Amino acid sequence: MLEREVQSKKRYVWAFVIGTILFLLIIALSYFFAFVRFQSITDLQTSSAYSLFEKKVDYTFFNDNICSAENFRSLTESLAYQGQTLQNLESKFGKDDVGVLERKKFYTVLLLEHLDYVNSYNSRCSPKFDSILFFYSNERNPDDSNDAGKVLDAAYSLDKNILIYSFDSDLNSTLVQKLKDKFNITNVPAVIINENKTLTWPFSVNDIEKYLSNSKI
Amino acid sequence: MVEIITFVIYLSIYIGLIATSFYILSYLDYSKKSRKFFSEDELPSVSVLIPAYNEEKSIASTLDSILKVDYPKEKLEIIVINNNSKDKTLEVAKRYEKFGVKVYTEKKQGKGCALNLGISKAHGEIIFTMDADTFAEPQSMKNMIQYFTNERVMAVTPTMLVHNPGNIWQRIQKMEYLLGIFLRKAFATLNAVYITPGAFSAYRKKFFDEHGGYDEKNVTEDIEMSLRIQYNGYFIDNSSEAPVYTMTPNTFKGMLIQRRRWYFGYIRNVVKYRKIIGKDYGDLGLFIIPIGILSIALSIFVSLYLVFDNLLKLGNNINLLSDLNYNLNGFVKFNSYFFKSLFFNLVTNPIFLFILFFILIMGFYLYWAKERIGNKEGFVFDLFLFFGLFAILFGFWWMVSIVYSIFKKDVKWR
Repeated sequence: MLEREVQSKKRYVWAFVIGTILFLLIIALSYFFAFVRFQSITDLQTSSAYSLFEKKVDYTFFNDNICSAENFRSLTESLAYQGQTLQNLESKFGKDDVGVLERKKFYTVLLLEHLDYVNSYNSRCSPKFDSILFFYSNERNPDDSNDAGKVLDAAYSLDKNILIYSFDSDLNSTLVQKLKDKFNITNVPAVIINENKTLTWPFSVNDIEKYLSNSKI
Repeated sequence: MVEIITFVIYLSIYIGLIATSFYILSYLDYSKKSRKFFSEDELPSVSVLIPAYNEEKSIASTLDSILKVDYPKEKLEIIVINNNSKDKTLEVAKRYEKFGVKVYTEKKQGKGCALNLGISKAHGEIIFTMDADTFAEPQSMKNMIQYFTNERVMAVTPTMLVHNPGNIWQRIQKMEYLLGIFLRKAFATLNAVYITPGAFSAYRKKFFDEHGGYDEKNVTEDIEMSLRIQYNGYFIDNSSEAPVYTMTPNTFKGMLIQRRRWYFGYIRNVVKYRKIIGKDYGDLGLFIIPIGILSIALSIFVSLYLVFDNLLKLGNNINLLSDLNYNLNGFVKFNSYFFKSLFFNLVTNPIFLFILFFILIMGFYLYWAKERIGNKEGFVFDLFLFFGLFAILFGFWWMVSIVYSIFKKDVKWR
């Protein structure tokens, strides 16, 4: 057998170096995009907070007419998007990331402010909005929480007068703890319909629709 | 399990990045080297062997293409070996005897048997083996011959392409073959080509005289021959200036039968020549074959996981449908944030970015190949077909081949 040798050992070293640099660069790029996303969420939360507080001040201080339903759809979808994004950022940066934690806590405040505003609306206007408080966990049973989220999305698609407020039951927040105590939440995922009826998983779209104000069931 | 699969995916990507860097560096180093060429007088004599079994529809075109090659006619010998065809293959071939084509019949069934008969009848210093459904460009033969100026080169491979790709299966194969052009060249720069396409390859007859003819019991006698050449320390080169078109299967079943035979044969032959793996065989043994084996293993692992995981998810989603009142809006949220959400979900996932990067690299390989062969038809659409479907097909073919290997099932040509 004729002798054969490796053509160039240096080439292996260069390939290893270039491959490693590319690997780390692309991982860094994904973190860069996550950081951009974090910044965009921060800006979005600021704008949502301003929008919400402005409406509240219009109603409470300037006695404007609260019965203007179009405020809710865009703000609700914005809040849902923020919640989803914060979940993704948490899985990217880790649940102990200080920046993401602070954003999640602020998000919880926004949700409760929005809920309070909707309760004021419901007491004066019609048609009324149904509120669903959704408690989920990404740690204990993420698959069930994921499925419960899909049920809620399906319910929302059938009835746009539903407003869904999602709370991470594992969030280290006194507000979330107070909510869990108030509604006696021990198992998740769980939903509270109109701050009145509690359902724990498993539940279906029909189960939810039974307890809505405009229920056809 | 999720952690294991994530680790395996990232490991595959990391190995892929190192391998890609290595191939490109090898090619760049090679392209700086000068080569020797035969003058017209120095061109060696050539015998073209065309084994044929039931190829009445294509053998005439194959013979027409080889009769048109730009090569001194007095140094060119064409031999057709009819291998018990039941159609009019023999009759068609005999019509070409008036052009100097020699026609023989081999009664023992098998391509290896037919080729060995052809080798025993051939007088050329260089032997081309050619399938009866393959068509060579006029300049291909001479361009391939030029690589035999290196005495250590025992075989030369061409630029294999798909002939008239029609449906999606052939278009996917067309892109696969195009992708192979750069990689085969990169392997040749490392003296690490270990597969000589049975459809069209050139060998130095001296190798057959010293090391024997084709293994007649091997379903991939071409892979066995190329590994035998490498095993004995010789080189296999590649000519990216020698376009050769071959007919490919046009059905899923046809592709599966072909790939099962190829990959089964690859496994059997690599096991037979496993001593090639190691530093004694240079870049081939140290890097190319081990990386190839590792890549296949990782692809199968990831493919299996993704198939089962998605089947489980599908099962779960089907169970969930009744809870959703059969409303599919539970699965996808179409609102004003849909595209923004989708964009950020993708770009913050490193795996998606790595896939994009590899698509870019493959795009470069394909562009390089297209520039070589000059055909720009149907490039973009076929690219999407290839990226969308090939990975799944590749994993599936390998799984089937491994099952056949493990359970020692027989794999036939057809």
